[in-house]
Amino acid sequence: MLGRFHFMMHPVCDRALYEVRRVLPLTVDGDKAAHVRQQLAGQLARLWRYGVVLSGHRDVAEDLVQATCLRALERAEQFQPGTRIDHWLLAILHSIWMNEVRARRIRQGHGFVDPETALTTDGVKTADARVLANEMIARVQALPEAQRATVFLAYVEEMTYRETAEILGIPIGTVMSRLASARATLAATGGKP
Amino acid sequence: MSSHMPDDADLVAYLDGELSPDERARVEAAVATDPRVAGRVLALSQTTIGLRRAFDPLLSAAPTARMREVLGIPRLESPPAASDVVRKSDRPGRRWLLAASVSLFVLGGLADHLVLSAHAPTVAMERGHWRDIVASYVRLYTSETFANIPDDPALQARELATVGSAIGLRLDPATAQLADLPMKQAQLLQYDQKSLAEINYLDPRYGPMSLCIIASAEPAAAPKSEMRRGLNVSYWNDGQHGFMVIGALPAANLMAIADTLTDRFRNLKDGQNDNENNVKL
Repeated sequence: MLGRFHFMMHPVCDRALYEVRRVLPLTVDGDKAAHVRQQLAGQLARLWRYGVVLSGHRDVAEDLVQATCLRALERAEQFQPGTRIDHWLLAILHSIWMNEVRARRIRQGHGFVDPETALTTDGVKTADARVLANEMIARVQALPEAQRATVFLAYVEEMTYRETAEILGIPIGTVMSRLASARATLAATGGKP
Repeated sequence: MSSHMPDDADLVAYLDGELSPDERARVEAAVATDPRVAGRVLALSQTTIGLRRAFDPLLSAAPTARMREVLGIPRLESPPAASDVVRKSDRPGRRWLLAASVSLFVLGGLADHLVLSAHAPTVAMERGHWRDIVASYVRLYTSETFANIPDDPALQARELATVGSAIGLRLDPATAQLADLPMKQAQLLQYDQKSLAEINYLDPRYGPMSLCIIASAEPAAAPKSEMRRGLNVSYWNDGQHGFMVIGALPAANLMAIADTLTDRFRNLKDGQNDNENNVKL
C-alpha cells in the first residue's frame, strides 16, 4: 500500500501515469470509492477547464484531470458523503498542480503561457461574442497565476470566498486581497466587456 | 462625520455579497455620501460582467470522451445533451444576481434570487431555470439543516396537504414516502410567482435530497439526468407539473427515485381525475 502511494506521488504528465493506470485499475473496493467513481464522469469537463486555466495548456490539463481522478480514487475514503464532490476534486487538482506539476514545468522552462493560443475558443455563437469572450479570457489569463485561479473559482465557478479559500488552501483574507487586486487590474485595463 | 474611503477589498467583498451586515451598512453609507466611492464600486463591478459566460465554451471544448476512455470511467446514465455539465450561458449567474441585488440594495441571502426571478422571462422555465434556482437553494442544505426537525407523521401529513393544495396535487405521506429515505419536511416556496412545493428527505449516507414540484405547461417528458451547482438532478414533466429530485446521491439512485415517483404521480393523478369524474356523474 505504501509502495503504491509512493508511486502515486510521482509527477504526472509523463508515461508513469499510464503505468500507474495499469497497476491501479479504477475499481477500488469500497462504497465511497464506488460513489466517487460514479461522480467522476460528470466532473471531467470542469476539472479540465480549471486545469487549462492553471496551466494554460490543454494537454497538461488533460494529464492533471487524470492524475486528479486517480488521486481521488486513492483517497476516496477521505471524501465525506453529502459534501461537494466537485469542490473536493478541484482542490485535489489544484494541489497536484501546485505541488507536483507546476514546479516541474517551470524547471523545464515551460513556465511561460501564451493565453491567446491556449485558451481561444470557438464555441460561442456569434463572431462578436467570440471576440469578447476571448478578450475576457485573455485578460484573466494575463493576471498573475494566484489571482487568476482565485478569480476563476470565485467568478466563473461562482464559489463563495470560503469555498474558494478551502480549494486554494489559503485564508479568506487572501482571497479578498487577490480578488481586489485582480479586479483593480481588470478595471484599469478596460474590464468592461 | 469622517467618511473614510473603503478600500478595494471591502468594495469587492461588498459586490460579492461577502460582507457582514455591519460592514455592508458602512460601505452603503460611504456609497451614498461619497461619489468617489460610488464611482469605484461601479468601476469594480464592471470587471466580472460576462466572465462566467466567457469561460463556458471551454467546457464543451474539453476532451471528455477521451479522458473518460483513458480513465475507464463509464458514461453517465443519461448524459445531458451538450456537454456533461449544464450550459449556463443563457441565464444570469449567482454572482450576477448578487451584483444586481447590490445595486438595488436588496441584500440578504437567497431571497434576492427569488425576487429577481419574478422578472425573468417565462421562457426561462423551458431552459430549466427553475431547477437552477432550486439547486442554488438546496445546495445550502446540510444534514444539520434537518437535524432538529422532529419526525412527526401528523405534522408532515398537514405540511404535505397544505403544500399539495397550493400546487393542485393531493399529497399525502403515502405518496411522498420513499424507501430508505426518511422524509423530514414539506414546505412551500415561490418561483416566478408560482407556488413551488419542496419536500425534503435526509439520506443517512448522502445527506439531504429534495423533491420539488411546480405547475408547468411544458409537454410531458420522461426523467432525465443533469448536474446543477454540483448536485445531481433527475427531472421530468407530466404535462401539468414539472418535477425534480436533487441531492448529492449518485445519479443512478436519483434516477431510480424519479422512476418510482413518475409512476406514483401518474397513478395519483389518474385517481384524482377518476374522483372528479365521479363527482360530476
